[in-house]
Parts: sequence; C-alpha cells; structure tokens
Amino acid sequence: MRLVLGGILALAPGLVAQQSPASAAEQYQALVKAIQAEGAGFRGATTDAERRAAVENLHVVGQRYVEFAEAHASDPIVLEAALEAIRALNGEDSLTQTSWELSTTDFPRPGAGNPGGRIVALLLRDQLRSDKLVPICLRMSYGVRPEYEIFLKRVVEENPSEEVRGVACLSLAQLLNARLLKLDTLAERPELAARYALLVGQEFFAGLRRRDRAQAGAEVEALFTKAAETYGNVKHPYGGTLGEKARSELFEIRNLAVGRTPPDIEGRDQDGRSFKLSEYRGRVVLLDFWSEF
Amino acid sequence: MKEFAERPFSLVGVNTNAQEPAKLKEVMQREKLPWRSFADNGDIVRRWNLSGTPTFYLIDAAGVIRRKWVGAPGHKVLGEALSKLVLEAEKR
Repeated sequence: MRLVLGGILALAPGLVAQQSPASAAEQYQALVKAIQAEGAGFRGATTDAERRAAVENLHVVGQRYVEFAEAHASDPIVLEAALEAIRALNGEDSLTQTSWELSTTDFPRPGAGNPGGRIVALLLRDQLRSDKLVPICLRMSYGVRPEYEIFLKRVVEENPSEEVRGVACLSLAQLLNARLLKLDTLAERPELAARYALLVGQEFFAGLRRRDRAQAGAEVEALFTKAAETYGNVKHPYGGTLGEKARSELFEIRNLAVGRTPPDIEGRDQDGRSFKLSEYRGRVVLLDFWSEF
Repeated sequence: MKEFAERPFSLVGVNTNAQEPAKLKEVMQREKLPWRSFADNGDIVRRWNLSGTPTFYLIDAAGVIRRKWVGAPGHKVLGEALSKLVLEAEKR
C-alpha cells in the first residue's frame, strides 16, 4: 500500500505540489516517512540507558500515531494509523518487559497518556463493524493492554464479517492465553509482578490475580474451541486455517504446558542418525528450539 | 554449561531452519555448537506449535516439562532452573 502510494506521488510531483491542503492519506505517508527517518533504534540497544531511551522513543511514536488517528477519525486512513499505534505500543510494552529482565540499574516505567485506551475508544466508536479489522485483531493478540480484550470481545459479538469475527475470536484466545502464562511466571517473581502491575494498571492486575486459574484456563480453551468449530474453515492470514491454528494452540495447552509429559520427538541429527527425545529419560533435558540466520 | 558436564543433563537442539542434516552439520561446525540437534523439516515445529526461536523447554528426569521460555530467559534464570533440576535428578 505504502509503495503504491509512494509511486503515484513520485510520478506526479507537480500535481501534488499544486494541491493543498494535503489529503489525510498524504499526511499519513509524510508521518510514516518522518518516523522511519528518525528510526526507533531499539535493535542496537545494549545498555540500560539505551534501552530506556528506546522504550521512550517507541512511546512517542505510538503517541503520534494515536494523535493522527484521533485527528483523522472519519478518514479510512484511521485504520492504518491505529495499526501502527498498536504496533508501536506492543513494541514499547515488549521492550519495557525485556528491559526489566536485562537491565540492572534503570527500569523503564510505562509511558503516560493511556494510548491503548484512546485507540480502542476510537475503534469502538467508529470501526466496530468494519470488514478491515483483521490486521488490527492479529496485532492485538501480541499485546498486553486491557482494552484489547474489550475490543476483541465486542468484534466477536458484533462484526458482520465471518472472517473478522473468526480472527478476533482466535486473537482473543491467544491474548488471554499469553496473559495466563505471564501470570504463572509472575507468581514466582514478585519483583517483576509489581512492575507488570504498572504496565496494565494496578487494579486490573489485582483483579487478574484474584481469578481462579482453572476457570480462566477453561475460558481460554473454550475460545480456541469456538475458533476451531465456528470459524474452522476461515483462512488464517499467515497460512492454513483458523481451525488448524486453534487446534495447535489447544494441543499446546493440553500437552506442552508445564506439568505435562510432551509427545516424543523422533528425527535425524546433524550426522543423519535417527534418535528420539525419549532416549534422554533419566536425565534433565534442555530442549532448545533454535535457528540460524 | 561447563558446570553440568559429567552430570545427568543434556542439551538437545531442534534446528528449525528446515535443513538437511549435512547442511546443519556444516552450520554447527562453523558456529562451534557442540550439542546434538534434530534437523527439523517442519513437522516438529508444527506439532509443538512453535511461535518463534529461541524457545526452551526444561524437561526433568522423569520426562515432565518443568519450565518453558519463549525468548531467551537469560543465563541467570536458566542456570538456576537447571541447577535445581539436576540436583533433584542426582538425588533420585
């Protein structure tokens, strides 16, 4: 989309120069370009101070997309701005949590301004029935903001498109599942739990902790089951169907969770020799899924 | 990992680049990776519903999953969890 627009602008510079004011889409392209030129720069962050700077930078980027979306709420471009806002916010939240693990002196705190709440309020008000919500739902599944859950639930209930409802249902299940696993981890690490509470809100976090684990787990399984049964044949944007993905998630919950005995693995090693994971019974095994780039 | 040599512990890899064993061996020799690794053609990744690398499963001597990390947990967390389970296995 961006490339296409860029191409059109490049072909007709005179035309664009004569038009004023710039359309919302043109203003959006300019914003994206400006932000890309500045560079978020968190990939190279190795020190505590660099990580903090990167978190703050992502927060500002998210903030700018939120403000753009609010200023152009009636233009179709709002969906792209919202998607980028959510992407930046997820990046900020993810890097904030990574910094808590890696940093020793300087722990970033969540940024102010409730960008998650603002973007979701906008989407709920104007876009709940849009047939173009698939990328936004997918992106929310990776996030931690409490408002995402509210939005995805409403989309599952109210959106007319089967595809959008299906992706929202799967995304909601993934969001809630990831949150439960996070709570399990935090139960062992009180120092991180206190910081996570700042990220999602103290009251919200207290509410999550009061919930019965088995009941919350059953809710997640019911949502994956619904995605598999009601929307099983809907294509997943990343390949395969929603049904296949939902069943894989259920398999993971039931067979690959802490406390379970995983299925055996049988395959060939780097010398071409066959071997099985079960051959290591009697020894502690660190199973390391790795890739080389 | 040196502290776990001669003790009831093994690091087992699953390489997810979908490479033939010969190609994988080349990579592992070049990168000096000393452990044994499955050369996955995609079947293991699908069955284990992998969301990305690195992902670690810590499995005890009885074959039960005791910890799981999506993304690197850091040496300290990993080392502590390993020590605990290896000690437990040695007492069995």
